[in-house]
Amino acid sequence: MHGHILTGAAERPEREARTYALVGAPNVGKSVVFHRLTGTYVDVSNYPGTTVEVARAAARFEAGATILDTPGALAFPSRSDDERAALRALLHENPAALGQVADAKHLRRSLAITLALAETGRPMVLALNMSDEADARGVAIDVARLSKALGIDVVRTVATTGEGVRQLAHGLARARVCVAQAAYPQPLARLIDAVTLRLADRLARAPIAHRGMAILFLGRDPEVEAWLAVHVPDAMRDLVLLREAAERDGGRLAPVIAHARAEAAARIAASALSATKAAPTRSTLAGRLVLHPVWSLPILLGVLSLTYLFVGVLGAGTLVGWLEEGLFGGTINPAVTRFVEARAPWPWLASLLVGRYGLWTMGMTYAVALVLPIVTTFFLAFGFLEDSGYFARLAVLANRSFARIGLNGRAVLPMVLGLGCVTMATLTTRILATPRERLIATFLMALAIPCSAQLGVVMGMLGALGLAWLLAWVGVLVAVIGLAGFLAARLIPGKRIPLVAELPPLRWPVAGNVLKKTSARLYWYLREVIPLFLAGTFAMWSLDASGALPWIVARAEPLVTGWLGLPREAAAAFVMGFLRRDFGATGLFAMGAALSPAQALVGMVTITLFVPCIASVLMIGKEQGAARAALMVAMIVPVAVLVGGLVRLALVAAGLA
Amino acid sequence: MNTIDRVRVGATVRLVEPDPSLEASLREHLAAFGLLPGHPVTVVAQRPMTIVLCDHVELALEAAVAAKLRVTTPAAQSRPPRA
Repeated sequence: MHGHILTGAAERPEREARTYALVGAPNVGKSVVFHRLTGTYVDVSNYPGTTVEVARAAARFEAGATILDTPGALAFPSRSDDERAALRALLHENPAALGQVADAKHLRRSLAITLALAETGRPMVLALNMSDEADARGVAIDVARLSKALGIDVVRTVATTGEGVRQLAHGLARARVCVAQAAYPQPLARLIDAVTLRLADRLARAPIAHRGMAILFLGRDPEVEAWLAVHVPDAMRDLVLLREAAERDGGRLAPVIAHARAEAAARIAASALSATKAAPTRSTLAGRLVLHPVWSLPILLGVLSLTYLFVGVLGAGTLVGWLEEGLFGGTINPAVTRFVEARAPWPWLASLLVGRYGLWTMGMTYAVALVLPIVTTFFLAFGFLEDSGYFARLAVLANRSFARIGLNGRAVLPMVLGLGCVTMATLTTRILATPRERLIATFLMALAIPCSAQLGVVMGMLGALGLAWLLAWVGVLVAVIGLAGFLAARLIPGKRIPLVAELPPLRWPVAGNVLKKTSARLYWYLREVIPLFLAGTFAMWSLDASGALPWIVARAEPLVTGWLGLPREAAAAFVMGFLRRDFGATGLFAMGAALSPAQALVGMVTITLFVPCIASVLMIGKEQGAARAALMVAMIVPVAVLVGGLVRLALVAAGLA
Repeated sequence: MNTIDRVRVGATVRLVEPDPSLEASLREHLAAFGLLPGHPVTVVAQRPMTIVLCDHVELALEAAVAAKLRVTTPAAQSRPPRA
């Protein structure tokens, strides 16, 4: 339990229970610094806003100390969910010191945040991260002069290589309160003083210095407002009246606050920056080439092809073949089956473990031999592209198309991550700016984004029939996403937010960071997926053993054989699809030669659009609420069957079925 | 008054107050990125969207925003409006 109230002047808590908070703008390397300081991994990437929650871990450099990694905050008063989460950490976690991780390339902007943090009254240290990139661009910062101007330790760091991290740890342990302050214009300055006095009268102790609290309140910070409403309810009416009177005269105060800080930051930056040269680096030129009107498309196709070769051919083809057919099919499963059948006291137990729907022969074999190689290669490729800075540029390239479905290019990250794991991607929709965008992206992913396990099965099945069938499947899904998104954008109330995004430097990822990221994602995935695979297999086995499966298959038969034109046995695959979409796809895949190419396409389109896996539905419920999750499932099932049947009719009309 | 979406690639211009019709939340977002009146920025691309270099950091601005970001620029550095 963390103590949560300090004096207004930010008193240091006792040494044995220290908490240090890393704070800073998105995409400045906070999470890599966190990893360096703690040895613990959190989701780190070269894409703004991927830390969606406050992460905490024990510090390596001080026994008993805790480090917090807060989400990226561009400015305070907070506006986005990430900024609110960062401010919540400052209000409720009682950090002994703040470690501001800043982009050394953009000193002026970084110092505006420093000045905002200075107002909290917390001791702090400033890490000028990505100093290597600043050097490459000719940005020379006089660290000693800057440190003197701010009155705190300023450390040059390159988190990806670990340079300067030890000095940062040392600086945190002896952090000081920043002496530099923004000068606010009148009448705002008088108003700040008035509110500060009122707060000081009523609050002997506060987690943020009274003046800082007053400034955040006047800038309408929702977290500070909520905190004050709880702790000084009697004063709120008076404070709100003061603020409203000022706003009536001069409009919102947040821009005035931001402007004053920016001016002070620019002055301090100018005193510490020496002459800079603007020779574009190779990284800058490569970054521009990726967005070039002519070259962006061939580069995109090249990236997609390489990803397909790595995930589709190596992961879903070679590795799955080696593991599923070779290791499991040829060696492990026969041995396990013999062992269990020889020792199981009851036939049903042998059937439960190694039968058609056996926990080992189906559940574990799917999870380890089929899914693991595909998600491993996918997460490796995804981590590489993420750290390279390519996704931020893909957001720019995709923005126009995404605008048509009510989203902006930022949604490209969850959508692409959904190709790995829709459950994980649903969680990542938190990086989107508004609840409306999160709802649209979640719905489209639940409807039509196949996860990597499913993709592997689809590629294996339709790829074997020929590229045209695979492209037809892609075409149907793109059309469904386009139409569903078009309708969602018009039916869901609210406005679309235009894209304003920072483009991080294009860089060659550090292999160790990509591997750490991949292993953390795989751990998350396996922890989530293996129990669900086993539960799903058990449900299938129970349905089969109780005779319910044949009954359900018989009920579903008219729809499956009539409207979809598939063999009777395909109904069992759709029942499996309720448990996991890839279970269903694998069920169809197992039917192999029993399906014509047209039936394979209809089956794969239907099962791809079918309900997302149980884990995804649970995650949608967690993020969007149970009612919306239920509504999505209720909409998705009929749409899947409808589209599948329409594809069949189109194939019949074209003479292909 | 010229807007940044009409500035030629390669030109360095100075920002002025954005068009008042630009939403307050977007204006604050731009300010947080360092795009403040009086600050110089260099336009590095206009397609697929406006990309500016601001203190060694590249920022992408969708057309709806770029068209409201006003700048002072010599006439020679502006380009004809898009068809």
